[in-house]
Amino acid sequence: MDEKKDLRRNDLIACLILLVTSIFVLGDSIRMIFFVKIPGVEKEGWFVAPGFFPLILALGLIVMSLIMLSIALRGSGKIVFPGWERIRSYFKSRDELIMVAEIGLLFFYTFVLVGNIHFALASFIYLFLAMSIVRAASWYKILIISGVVSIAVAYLFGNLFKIPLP
Amino acid sequence: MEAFWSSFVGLITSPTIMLVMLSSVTVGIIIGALPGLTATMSIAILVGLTYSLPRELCFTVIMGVYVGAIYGGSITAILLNIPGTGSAAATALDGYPLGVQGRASFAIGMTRTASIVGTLFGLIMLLTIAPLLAKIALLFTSVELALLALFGVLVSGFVAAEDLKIKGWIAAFLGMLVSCIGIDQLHGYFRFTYDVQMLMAGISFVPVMIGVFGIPQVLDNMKLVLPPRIKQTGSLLPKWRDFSRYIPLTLRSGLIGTGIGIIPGAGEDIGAWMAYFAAKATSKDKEKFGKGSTEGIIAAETGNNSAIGGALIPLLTLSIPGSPPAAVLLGALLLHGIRPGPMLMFEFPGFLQEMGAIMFLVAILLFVCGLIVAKFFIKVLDIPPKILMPVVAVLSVIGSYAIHIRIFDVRVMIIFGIIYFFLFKLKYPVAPFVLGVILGPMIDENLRRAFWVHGGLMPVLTRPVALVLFIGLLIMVASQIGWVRNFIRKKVFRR
Repeated sequence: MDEKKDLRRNDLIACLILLVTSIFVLGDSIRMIFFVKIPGVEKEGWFVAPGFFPLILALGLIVMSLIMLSIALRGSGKIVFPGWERIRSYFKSRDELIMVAEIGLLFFYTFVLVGNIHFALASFIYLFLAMSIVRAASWYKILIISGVVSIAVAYLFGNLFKIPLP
Repeated sequence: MEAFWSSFVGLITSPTIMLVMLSSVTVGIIIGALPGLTATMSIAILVGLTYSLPRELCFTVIMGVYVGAIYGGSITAILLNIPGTGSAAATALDGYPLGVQGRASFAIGMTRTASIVGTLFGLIMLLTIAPLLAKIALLFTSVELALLALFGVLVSGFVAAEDLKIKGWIAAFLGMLVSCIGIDQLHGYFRFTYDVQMLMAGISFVPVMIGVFGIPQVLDNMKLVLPPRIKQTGSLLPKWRDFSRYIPLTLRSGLIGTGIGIIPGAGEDIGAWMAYFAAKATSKDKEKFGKGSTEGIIAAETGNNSAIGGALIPLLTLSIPGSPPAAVLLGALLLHGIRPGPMLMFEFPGFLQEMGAIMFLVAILLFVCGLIVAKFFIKVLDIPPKILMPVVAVLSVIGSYAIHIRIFDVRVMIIFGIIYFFLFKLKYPVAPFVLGVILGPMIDENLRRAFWVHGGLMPVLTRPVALVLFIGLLIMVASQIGWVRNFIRKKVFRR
């Protein structure tokens, strides 16, 4: 029961974000609406404009996020936004900290390493750090696995399959 | 039929052709299994490489890779939850849970059998009622294509949602919205690009698909303490009695897959999704879907492989490719001086049967080659997740980069993967989102084109097929609105 209530509380935050995004998209779609002369029709039509489809989608998302908002309010009982205490307790869990670190590492790998240094080296750094964080094996085993995998992957795809690597 | 058997005998008695076919199917399966390498891309490369080969050998290679790649995508979908090709995305929904339960060998065996049956089903359709089916497919113009695609996206939202149906539709709408980013194909207008150069080319569905399937998996498995991995049991060779129970489902999925394959531009991906959703909607064990349903993987794999035969029907009879790989195949046919269309039977008598015989042998070889390749791939599951998952992240980076050779796609993959990691926790289904990204451009372009041609919505609905699809859409949406449901229950059923 508590799990369901928690889900609805999180839904509440998600649908508020969705509502704001949809309103923003709606505004942008309206900008993309212009009237076009359609052959065989007296009046100019707006339904062939580039903004037509996103406009329909944004309207649909606004309606659905309002429905979700009402479901979430009914299901969670009250509006509870995560306070400092809740956020702090969340980051006390080691698994949650690892998850945040892994997300950060993925960003570091794809936004900083990949494309700026050789792919094999970038992958080696990522693999070594990602496995070390979760203590996948002893450090020297991780070192060997990361080295072998990054070189093998770079050779297999880059040289054997002739796929350009980032 | 005589021409088919004479081609069949000609092929089977040639050791060179058989050896080439065996290698092509194996290579096709490996290509399909590797994320980011698609059937379309591999056929496109092969068209150039096989140009100097004799006609028979050239199409043996192309068809071998085509059929092999469509099946191969299911292997990584089951083992790693990363569909090797777009057409295997539906297979991942139930294939990966089966792998987690220790039944990966069983799932791979079943999908292989389903792929063979699907390919043969499509082939029978191609050889028997090709011209008739092609005429029906021509009834589908822009508006019908748009409504059919919209119907598919909304059905997926309706069927795939685990928590609330509305979450499935929100996911579908978000997917379609993502597909709007980039240059508009009708007016050349930049939508949601905000002067970012990379956004102007749009967001490709492959990195998005790899991200939303792969990254949540990587993050979920990177914990200090993980539940013990279940040992993989079972054989890669499915028992006949296990498969025979699903023959009606296989035939129905084959019919759906072929039907979708015939519709120009629809292709194997949609064939798999439609067959999957039809299986879920009609199953007695609906609650098993998404948690490791055998029906789910069989329907999806039969659907995508039968779409191959379906896609060849309009290609060979009308010169209109039914799927992206079939479009590349059209190029190969033209390069070899074969002009597909209504005159094909007269200008190249026996060619249709020759293609049929190649497909038949390829389907049979899929059994052997699939078994060999899967034996190696299945070893992947013995690797501890804490070591395997970072490697999956590296493969996802290569897969998303390989399609357009853009670092931007790698970043798109990571961003969508992380967004969906959180949405997944909130029980937003992944299938409607992916389908929305794939089908969004098809709905948008065709709908507006239809309005342009017909001058508005009302004239469009005078077309019978469009009207049926439109009413179907209205009924589906209305059936999910509480007060409409209550009203119908009170007023209609109590009367």
